[in-house]
Amino acid sequence: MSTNAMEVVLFRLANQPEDVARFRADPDTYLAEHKLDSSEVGALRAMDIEGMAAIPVNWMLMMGAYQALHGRPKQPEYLQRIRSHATRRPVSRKEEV
Amino acid sequence: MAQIVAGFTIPHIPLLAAKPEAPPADVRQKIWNAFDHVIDRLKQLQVDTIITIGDDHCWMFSPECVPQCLIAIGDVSGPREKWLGIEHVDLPVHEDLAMHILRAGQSMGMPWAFSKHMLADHATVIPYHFCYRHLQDAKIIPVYLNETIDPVISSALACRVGAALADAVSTWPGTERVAIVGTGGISHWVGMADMGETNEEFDRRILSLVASGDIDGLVKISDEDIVREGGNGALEVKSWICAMAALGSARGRLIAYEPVAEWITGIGFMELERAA
Repeated sequence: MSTNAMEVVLFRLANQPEDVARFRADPDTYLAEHKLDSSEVGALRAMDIEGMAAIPVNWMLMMGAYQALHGRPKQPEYLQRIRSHATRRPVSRKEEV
Repeated sequence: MAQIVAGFTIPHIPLLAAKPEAPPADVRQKIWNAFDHVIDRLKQLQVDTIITIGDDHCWMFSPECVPQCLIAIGDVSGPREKWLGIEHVDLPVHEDLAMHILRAGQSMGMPWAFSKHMLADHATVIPYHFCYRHLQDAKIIPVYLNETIDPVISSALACRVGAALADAVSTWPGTERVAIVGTGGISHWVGMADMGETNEEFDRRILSLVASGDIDGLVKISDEDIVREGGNGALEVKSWICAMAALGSARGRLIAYEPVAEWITGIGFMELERAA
């Protein structure tokens, strides 16, 4: 799995509402327009945050695409998923944002 | 000749507009006071042109084409992000000086990209909204450095950009009084697991290096160390480095520092003062 084409898809989802609409309507057709292998298609189709974080793809692109697809109010859900997977800094935690 | 008469580092946090009431009242008042201080100093120094250095946040430049350094030479409007909740406006750009900076840099081999028609994101619009627009008739020149998509601009190149800005201003046959403003946060993790945390120890290390005018010390911090200790957002310190390089042998005077979890950022305001 590479990141180049995935990050372009994430950028378009984050920035172009028409791409979000097409992705929602028919993700397979939308993703087939990009040079993605089957694992990349699977990660994007499922918006597999944990899997993409492990590569990792660009964090801002991933958060931007997630928000575009699910809405900004879902940001806590995004962070919860990221935190369930990624290693965090070894410091005392303040209140979670 | 035009001259650089001021330099500052200020934040460009989108939550300043989107969630202005999020931090405790005393904390946010410190931030508004710091903006007021910068505005007052810009007025005192009779600044009429602001070169504002920032970065894109994956809203403007696709991974298909990423400029390492870019200058806006034409129309600029913003913000691109509607969720900021602030009015979309046309920004007043000093197009002639921007074109001169571009051409002067090109003649020296600087790898400038340029934009003739920019829809700016919060890196430009937040400083304009909270600071620059309060200066009557002042014009701006937005400069973008790639601090978000790997491989990001090297800190050494950020220095060269700053030096090129200074050289170009010094050869502009106008009477402009120019401020160089490096915008961005210190520690912050954007989209990463530690989003919402700050690292005060790292922040104060950066502030100390700026205070002592130690550009070399800042440049020597590797990108990997910046991201590990301060998060991906802390790469915005490259905008500060660029501003410092434009000022020459400037030292930073702290205006305000606050690690603000509600705004997910270590926030620093400094005035960059040249040695007398």
